[in-house]
Amino acid sequence: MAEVVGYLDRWSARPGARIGVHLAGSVPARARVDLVRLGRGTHRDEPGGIAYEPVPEVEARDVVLLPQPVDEGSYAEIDLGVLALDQGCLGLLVQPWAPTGEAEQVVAVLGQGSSRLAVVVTGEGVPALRAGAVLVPTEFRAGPRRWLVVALSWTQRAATLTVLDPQAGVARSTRVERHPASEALTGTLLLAGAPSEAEPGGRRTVHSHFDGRLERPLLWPAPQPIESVRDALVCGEGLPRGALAAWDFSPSVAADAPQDLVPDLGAHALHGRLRQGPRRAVRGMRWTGQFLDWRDAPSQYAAVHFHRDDLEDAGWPCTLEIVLPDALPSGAYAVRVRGNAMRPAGDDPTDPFDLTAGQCRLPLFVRAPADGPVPPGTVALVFPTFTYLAYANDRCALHGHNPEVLADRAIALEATDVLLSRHPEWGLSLYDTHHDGSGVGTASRRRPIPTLQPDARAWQAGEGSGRWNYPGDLLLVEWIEREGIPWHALTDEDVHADGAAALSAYRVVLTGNHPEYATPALLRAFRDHLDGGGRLMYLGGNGFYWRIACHPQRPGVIELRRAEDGNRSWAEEPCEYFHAFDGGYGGLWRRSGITPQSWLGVGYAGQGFRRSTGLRRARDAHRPDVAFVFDGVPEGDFGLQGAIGGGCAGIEVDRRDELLGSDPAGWWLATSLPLDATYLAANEEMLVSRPTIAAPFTPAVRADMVLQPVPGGGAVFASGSIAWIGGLSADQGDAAVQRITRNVLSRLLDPAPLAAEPGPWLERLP
Amino acid sequence: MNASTTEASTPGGDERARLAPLIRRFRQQPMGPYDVELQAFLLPLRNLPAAGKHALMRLPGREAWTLVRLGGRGRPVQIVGGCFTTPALAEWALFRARWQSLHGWDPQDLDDAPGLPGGAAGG
Repeated sequence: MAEVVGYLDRWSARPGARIGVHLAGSVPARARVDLVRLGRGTHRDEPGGIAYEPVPEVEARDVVLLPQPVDEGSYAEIDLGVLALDQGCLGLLVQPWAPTGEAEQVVAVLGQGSSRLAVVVTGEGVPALRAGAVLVPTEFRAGPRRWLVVALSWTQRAATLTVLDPQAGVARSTRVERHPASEALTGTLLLAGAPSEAEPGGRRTVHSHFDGRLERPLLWPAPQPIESVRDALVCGEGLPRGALAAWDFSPSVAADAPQDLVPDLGAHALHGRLRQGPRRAVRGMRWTGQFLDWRDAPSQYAAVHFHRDDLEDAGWPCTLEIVLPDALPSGAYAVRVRGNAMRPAGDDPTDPFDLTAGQCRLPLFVRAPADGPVPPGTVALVFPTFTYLAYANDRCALHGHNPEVLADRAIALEATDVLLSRHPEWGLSLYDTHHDGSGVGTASRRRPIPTLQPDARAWQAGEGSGRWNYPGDLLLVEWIEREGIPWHALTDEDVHADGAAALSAYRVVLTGNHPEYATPALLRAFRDHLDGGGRLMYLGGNGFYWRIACHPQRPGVIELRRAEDGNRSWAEEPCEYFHAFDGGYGGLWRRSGITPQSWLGVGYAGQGFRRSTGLRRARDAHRPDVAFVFDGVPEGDFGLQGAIGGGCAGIEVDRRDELLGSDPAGWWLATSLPLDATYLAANEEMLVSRPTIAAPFTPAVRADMVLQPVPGGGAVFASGSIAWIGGLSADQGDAAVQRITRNVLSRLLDPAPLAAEPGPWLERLP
Repeated sequence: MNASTTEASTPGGDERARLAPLIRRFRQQPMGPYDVELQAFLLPLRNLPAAGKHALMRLPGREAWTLVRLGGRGRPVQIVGGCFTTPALAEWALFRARWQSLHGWDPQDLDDAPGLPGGAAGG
């Protein structure tokens, strides 16, 4: 039994690219690796599974899979270089967030072997000094989220730890005689974790991570009184007089400043590195309450928040590289890894079986060649990979906020969810909280994400196929392939990086079913595309909702601040609403002044996760200038069946709303039939808690289908909800929804502007 | 009603009699829709904290589900067993498991009338 997991070094590539494949097995095992194209072909792994076909141009390769550890947890690493400190003082500000627990947390450690000195917080929440194997606690108990001044002074004969709570005015010290043979402290200063003593296989790991914030580590060449340390930490700036080093944790306003660099202001330039992506641009002890934006006062946001469960890069060795053929058509692909020791689940599931069913399929989207021609009529499908990443390794059903209540039914885990529960070291999603209770604000794709599989089922898809997010978007791919529409694949990352130029060759661009997360550059690209006469089919719900930022140095890492309001599984810390990665104001795009309604015609209204419903023609459905939309569609309600919740309006629903920016002249084509009481209004729409938040009691919770021209020849079609794409399913779909989608797509491919005839949308133009 | 009230109650004979109609209604229609009274009965059960809570897992590649038990943060899900071949059977089996772990008696004992979902075939 070998459970097979892995990740690729990228999710998007052009033909000719070399793809790094990083794999592991739960036990050593042989596996075969090949490339498959998704959404076409005759192969399916299970009834209702996504169609696929092998890519014979990429030769299958046999590899050996080995178990691979993950060294999760963030920390700071500072090479002390030539310094050899037979005496000294390390001072820093410490804010434990979860001071009590099962294990000791290491705040700082320096030196090696029996000479090593460490500042720790014991499992009882007591700051303590560890000298070699000796632990000496202070008579002090750290409270959660309470700032402390910490000073560790040492000579070759003794070490002293002093902890001061400046708010309470309480200081406690503890002292230990050092080993007679103690050497000068050299090597590495590690903050928020301790290096492993043993390094199996030459691999270095860090353990005993600290959960909380650290600020302004200072190093002196001699012991210091606590008053001096306090003054330097709390009141001082820069390098204190007589100090050897001062590490500046404040975020840099320079756009290209390395996120993982903590510069030393001292003469030795002992610059440190942050590992595994701790959170920056958070309030430090010296935050005055005057500023809300770290860019206005970086020194007041000079703390770094470390978590034992941060993970930026699993760091697995590359098992093999796959070279994409130069002539490989653009599309949705997967690197398929099949173990040869599989054991399927039988009727007695307590008999151990392979939770991955012996294989994993790692998503890969292949773009068109950079300089290749784009045949006329080719559409672009932008896979919302930022949203895939936001949900990656979502553990809410395992330990978080209870989705069963939202779903109004039992949650059925996938076996890969169970596998995920066995591997906390594979990290968290943007929907989870850290061990210390803080929200998870960054997500990386450089790690195993076992649930991101083409046939995975999600509770968010309601009753039915379970297809939602990535597997839901593959229904769209299957439909495009069945319709014979020429298309090219793009991802959020591609459009973020290349801007509107990534879209300019395509008259029509399609979204997936849930493009929830968007960077400013991504949003700008879509809007520039529309302003330049391009067309967009927004085939989802709750789209372009959260504003995020991309790591300026590390591709595949995004940041989110769940500011202000919105449907959230955690709330951002007050006054920390600005991203560290780009300085942008986090939270809902609506709160940044760009409502989805203002450029898509609709925006998020509410959600329910059990049953979807159908649609009914609305105000403008019978206008002659939009007759093409319903051409061939029988009169009456439509979208009454679908693979996502059993209808084509539902799950997360969007509403047109002129007060929120919907174009009054846009065509309101259809609206959802009544949604049931499991649908609740978006909380950002509630000023006061009220008993009318369920859909049966408010007309505001509904899905609207709209089409609106954009001056200059552009146009946007919005389907109104996530469930629409379920209507495109071959066996569970809805003929009317398929026809409407095709009708609109065909019309939008026609270069003639939609508003060819004078209408009210022209009357309002200056 | 909240989760703690559900956990605290250990129904005696009278309580069983009071709950019996609700449990029967759920068993007849485990996939809903639920009336207001039944919803109020079910929500606290569904809102229980994760650690130790029963849940379902789909067997890989199959239209069949088994019972599992959530471990909570950082702890693995345990596979309990059973093989249920429809969502309704799985939902009823899950309800039974949760109820038994909370109250110590099997709600199926209330009524094993033939023809109801979750009867002899319900595991």
